[in-house]
Amino acid sequence: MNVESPVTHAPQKKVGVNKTVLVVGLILVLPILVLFAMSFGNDPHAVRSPLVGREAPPFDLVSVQDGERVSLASLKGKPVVVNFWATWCEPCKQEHGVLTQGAKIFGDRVQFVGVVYDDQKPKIEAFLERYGSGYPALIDDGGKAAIAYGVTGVPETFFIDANGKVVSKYNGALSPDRLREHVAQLLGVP
Amino acid sequence: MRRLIAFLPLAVLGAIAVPVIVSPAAATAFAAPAVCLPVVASAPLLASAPIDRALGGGDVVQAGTSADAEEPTMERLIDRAFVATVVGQPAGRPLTGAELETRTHEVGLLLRCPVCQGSSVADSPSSTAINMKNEVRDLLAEGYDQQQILAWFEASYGQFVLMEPKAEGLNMLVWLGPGIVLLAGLVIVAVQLRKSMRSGDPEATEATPAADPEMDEWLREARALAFGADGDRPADPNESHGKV
Repeated sequence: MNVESPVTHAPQKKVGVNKTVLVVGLILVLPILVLFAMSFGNDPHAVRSPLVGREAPPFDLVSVQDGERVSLASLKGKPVVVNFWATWCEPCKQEHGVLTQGAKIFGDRVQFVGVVYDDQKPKIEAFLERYGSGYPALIDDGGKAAIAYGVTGVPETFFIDANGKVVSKYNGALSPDRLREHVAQLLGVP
Repeated sequence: MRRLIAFLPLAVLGAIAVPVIVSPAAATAFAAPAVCLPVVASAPLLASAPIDRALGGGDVVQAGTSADAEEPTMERLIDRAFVATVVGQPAGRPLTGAELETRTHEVGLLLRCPVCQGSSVADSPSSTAINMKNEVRDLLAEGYDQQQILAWFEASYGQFVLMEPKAEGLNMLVWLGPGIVLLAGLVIVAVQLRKSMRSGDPEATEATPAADPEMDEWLREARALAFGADGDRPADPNESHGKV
């Protein structure tokens, strides 16, 4: 049953925009929106490293495979891909295949080097025996190289040109496409 | 005046909370995830590492301690030569003994552990932090001063590695922001206070709402319906005690 209320509805008051609230709100919210907008479309793995565009920190480390020393200076004249990795890092296992394949494909033009971060020699040897070895795996004794390169986790890969300058850096496991892109950039080919 | 009194606690709370939230130290904590976003992918890997390694124990290769300072390895010789090209020759005097350890801890407090959540290198037990602490110790023993050591780490990691952002460029917002917000709050309070003073007796103004015949008429109708033709309010229970 519908009973009509004898009381009319309350008169609607005009709700105006409080300019002060609007201005303060915009001042607070706009910078956040601008920051969000700036971040959209960025590849979270393509990190801006302070080393990009600068001379790559030198290293002279011992290879796990043959015990020989490998220095960055000895590789000068050829672009270098320096990959920081560890046996305890799961994505490194996945990336290892990509890099090994990359070393086979680009090996004549680019030198691939792995720097093992915070690890143990027997574990590295077991890892390489199981997953294969296509390029030197160097032990970073005391993490000096990792510190000089500003490594914050593994895997991280630095692409260094023939003159020893860092061209780009990639955080996380490289996919074949990403590796190809970075190597192409390193070699200056489209 | 009532509006002012209601507004004051909010202003005080804002004045206290905003500087705390926007303080440089807090800002770096908030900024860290943004700077560290790409690292997030690799951070769980570090977390999933064996605990003995995470604590810097086990048979993990650990070099760079003060014990082997007399016989520098090739890695350390190269490292030292490169540090000089980045931050120049040592500007201080070489430290040793207890002074070296104290300064190592002090400088370690100024550096962020890159694999931790807001911890300094001095506070973190992770192997990365231990390596960084060893690097600090090495550099202090070589005679590098605090400013040079911070500059060396910043050259590799960026400003993210500094526990306190530098007071320059956009960072100035972090340093000046709290003051600006506090000042803005005071200005708002002052303006409100002035408005109230100008409008005469603020208490009276607040107590008597502005006349609105349309609204009054509606209220009368609603009261009549609820409480009777005279539209009187029912007696307040507290008042009824006094009436009897």
